[in-house]
Amino acid sequence: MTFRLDLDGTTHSIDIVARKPETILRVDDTRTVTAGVAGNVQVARDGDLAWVRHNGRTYRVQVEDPVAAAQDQAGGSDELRAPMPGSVIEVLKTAGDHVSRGDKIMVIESMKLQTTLAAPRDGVLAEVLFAVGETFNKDAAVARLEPLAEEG
Amino acid sequence: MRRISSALSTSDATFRANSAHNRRLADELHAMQEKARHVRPERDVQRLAKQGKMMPRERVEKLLDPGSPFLELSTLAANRAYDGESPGASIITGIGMVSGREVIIHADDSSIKGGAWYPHSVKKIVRCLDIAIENRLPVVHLCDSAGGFLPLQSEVFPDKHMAGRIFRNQARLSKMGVKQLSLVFGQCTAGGAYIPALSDYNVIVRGTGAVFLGGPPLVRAATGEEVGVEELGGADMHTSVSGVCDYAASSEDEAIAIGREIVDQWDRPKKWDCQRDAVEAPYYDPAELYGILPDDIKKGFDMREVIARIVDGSRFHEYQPNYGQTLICGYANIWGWKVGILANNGVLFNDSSLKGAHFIELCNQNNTPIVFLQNITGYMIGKEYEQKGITKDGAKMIMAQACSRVPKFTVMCHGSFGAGNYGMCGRAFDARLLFSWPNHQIGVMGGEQAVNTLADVKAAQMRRGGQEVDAGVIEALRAETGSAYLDQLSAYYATSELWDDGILDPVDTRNALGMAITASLNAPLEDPGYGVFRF
Repeated sequence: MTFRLDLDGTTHSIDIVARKPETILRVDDTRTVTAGVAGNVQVARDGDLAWVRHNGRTYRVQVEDPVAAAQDQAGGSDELRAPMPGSVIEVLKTAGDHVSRGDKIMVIESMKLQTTLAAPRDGVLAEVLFAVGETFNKDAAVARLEPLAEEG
Repeated sequence: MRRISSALSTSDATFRANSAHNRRLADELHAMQEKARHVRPERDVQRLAKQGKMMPRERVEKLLDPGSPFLELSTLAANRAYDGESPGASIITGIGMVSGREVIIHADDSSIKGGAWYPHSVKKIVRCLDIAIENRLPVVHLCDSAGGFLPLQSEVFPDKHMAGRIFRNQARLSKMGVKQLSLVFGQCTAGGAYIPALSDYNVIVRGTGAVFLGGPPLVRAATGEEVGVEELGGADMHTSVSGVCDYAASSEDEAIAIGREIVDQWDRPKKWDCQRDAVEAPYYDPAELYGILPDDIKKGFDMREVIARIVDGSRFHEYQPNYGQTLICGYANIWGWKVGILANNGVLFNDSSLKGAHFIELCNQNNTPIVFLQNITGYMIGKEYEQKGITKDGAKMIMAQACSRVPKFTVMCHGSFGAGNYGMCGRAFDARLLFSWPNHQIGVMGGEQAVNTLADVKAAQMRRGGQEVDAGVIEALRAETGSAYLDQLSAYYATSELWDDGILDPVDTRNALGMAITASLNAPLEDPGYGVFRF
């Protein structure tokens, strides 16, 4: 597993190569270091921030969650699907609009409960497939984003 | 554990409108609580002062460890009953610290009609002692009640969960080894006399405190015997002659001080070993809850945004994020304690019900307390879902939930309608504590549907009787039943009837749950086991 950490403003990647007999880390895919602790280390944590005091110097360490970091790189889906069967109450965006992840696209109603459907990722809205008053089944695609261009 | 990534925009018009709406609801709640706690007719205040008595809340304050938190329960009980003449149902209850021990307090509020017990008062005391039993919390009773409110005795005295249940619960607590202390500030007459008598320890105040099955007037009427209060049931008689009471005090202050010294002798219950991590404040501001909760019962919201403003570090490990998405399940920490959370994000389908049942089993296997966050319109209806067996999938969820051995807690975050209330650990399912938010509504169905159903039934009746359907009659019926029905859906009606343990300002939910979970760990876990799941 790769850890990412922000040390005094610069992001480094760290792989644990071995734990026994001694901890060996690979830093930024280039350097291999043997982790050893000399002297007294004090750590104070505040959420994702850690303040590490070692040999008279204090380091500010930002710990990045490995799962979150991995998921940030994955794109959201192209399609917006209905979580429940129901009907459209309101459509807030039209085809061609640029949307950001989380932007509200439409409001649906099912079993007397209104739900807002939001963009799964940043992109351009390709089409809205149902108009106000129209009904749909569970899991129906209700809107679509333009596919992302392949990189490289 | 990962932090929830909030999609909330605090500059959004909806956020600002919701904030204004929900802050107004919170202000109304605080105003009502303030009134129920402190506003009393001047003559009652004078009467207590003349007797040399403190206000009952002052007693509670002096009993508690200075600066320690007090989780008051059901502050607005009976707010819709007796024309508002019994604020808080004339009883103060809550969980707090006395001499470093977690206890639950029951205090009679003698600043209201001499502390007479109304039907809701009895319900509140019984609930307080049920909480003591379920969580093995020692009890301190502050006794100062004129006795049952005579005109309503049929609703106070005879049934299973009426006054007798108080004494039954006291006896059961004693059998379980859960300690009780009574401080007798006023006359404990008839049934009320059993509260100090069934306590392990009691302290009685000279002059104002008394304990007897029948007071002097009753004795005179029954046997002709002329006897004074002190001789019949005063502090010195009971502590030196009858042995009904243990310690006499010359003032209320002294009684409270002796009481604190008694509690200081008690051993500390051992909590079971629930997983605990370092406490971290939520990353997202809990005050943003005001902007998340909608201004209309029909509008949904993403419960992840709510979770992010209650749990430690706003961190949440979501279980099966892509399956049964209308029920969010996952692990988080509250005040460091590991909890499993089930939160509604829409109507319950077959897959969400199965996921919920499965997740509840995981929590039970893993010794993880469960928090239910309700916003539920029910289980999905319609041919497709019935044919897929939505009823048996809902039944599985109820089975797993009802048979859970880990402590459960429920917060009514918005709507609670129909059978969804059951699956999500509604009142009938023994949540250790159950709280509501001011915007909450509860009922077998929503207001609009109920009124339509009633109107349809009336129209069908008219047709069957050979009558023309009179639109005027139907409209009048809708208007009349509509407002009554809506009123009974409200969080204030629910809390008045003690369907919950109190209404919370949403920003206080994290602390309330933190105290509730901590208190719940005194009761050891039962052996695991369920009934028969219908597959």
